[in-house]
Parts: sequence; C-alpha cells; structure tokens
Amino acid sequence: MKHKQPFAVIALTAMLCACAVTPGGGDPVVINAEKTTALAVDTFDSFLQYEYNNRAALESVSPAIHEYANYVRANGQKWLQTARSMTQAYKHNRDENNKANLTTAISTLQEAVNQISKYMATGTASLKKAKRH
Amino acid sequence: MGADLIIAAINAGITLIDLAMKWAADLKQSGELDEAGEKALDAKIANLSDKPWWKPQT
Repeated sequence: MKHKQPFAVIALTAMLCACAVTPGGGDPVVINAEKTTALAVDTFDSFLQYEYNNRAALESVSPAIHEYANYVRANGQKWLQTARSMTQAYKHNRDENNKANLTTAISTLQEAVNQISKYMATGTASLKKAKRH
Repeated sequence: MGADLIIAAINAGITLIDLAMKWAADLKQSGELDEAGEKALDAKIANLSDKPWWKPQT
C-alpha cells in the first residue's frame, strides 16, 4: 500500500479499544476507560502536531481541520483530565452513578477521536487530490 | 502550493500509523493500570499544554 490511511487505522484502534476484552481479569469498564484515555492523549497530540507542522498545506485544502484542531487545543486537556477524574472516582466507588459519569467522559473522548479520524480522512483525501492537479 | 509540501503533509499523516500499531500491541495488555501507570498517564496529560502545538493558533 503506497499511501496508508492513518485515519482509518485510528478509527479501527479506537473501536478495538472500546471493545477490549480482559482475559487477565480486572474491571472492563476501568480498562476500557484507561485505554481510551491513553489512546485519546496520543491521538490528540499527534493530530495537533500534524496540523501544527503542516498547517499551510492543510488549511489550503480544508480550513475546517484548523478549526477543529483549535477546538481540541482549547478543550482536549480538560476532556482528558475529566476522564481521569471520573476513572478515579469509579475505581474508588464502583457504583452506577460513577459508572455513568465515567461512560459519559469516555464517550466525549471517543467522539473526539472519531472526529479527528474524519478530519484526517478529509484532509488526506484533499491533499492527494491537490497533488494530482 | 508546491507538491513537496503536499507530499510532506501526507507523509506526516502516515506517522500516525505508528500510534495505531502501538495501540494494537497494547491490546495484549490486560488489567487496570497500577499506581505507576496512572501517574505516568496523568503526567502525560498534564504536560500536553507545554507543547507548542497545543498553544492556541490563530
């Protein structure tokens, strides 16, 4: 494959993390939360670095990528910290309320990872199209 | 816009595959994070805002 599709791979891994099994034991709610949080850290960081380093090229083909990158810059760390706080709360008291709060926080991260995948798809496709012309 | 710039941008995106591969490998890991793992993750999150690409861009 000459040009791999990073966005597709990220989306796939996000799904895999969301469906992670726990053969070695442990609470799957916590394990999925921690894996999703760690995945989101790396995804946000890589996406923002990519957008930062290639802004001119990306902005010329898809200004929305820059807008979403700034949205992540403004909120991403807060989303991650919220997910960590909710994970800690659930680990200390594994009741339904804390589980619901954790699920909501993790859903926010997953949604952001999915959005990044979409923007990467748009950006990469547009860049390839621009390259052909 | 030069073709080199576009190619560079595409290639930079491909580096994100490394991230996916890392996570595919991590799927083998099971169990909740231990205290050291939690501290490492929290520190990683706390340090994000120090990176230049996390600063608001106009």
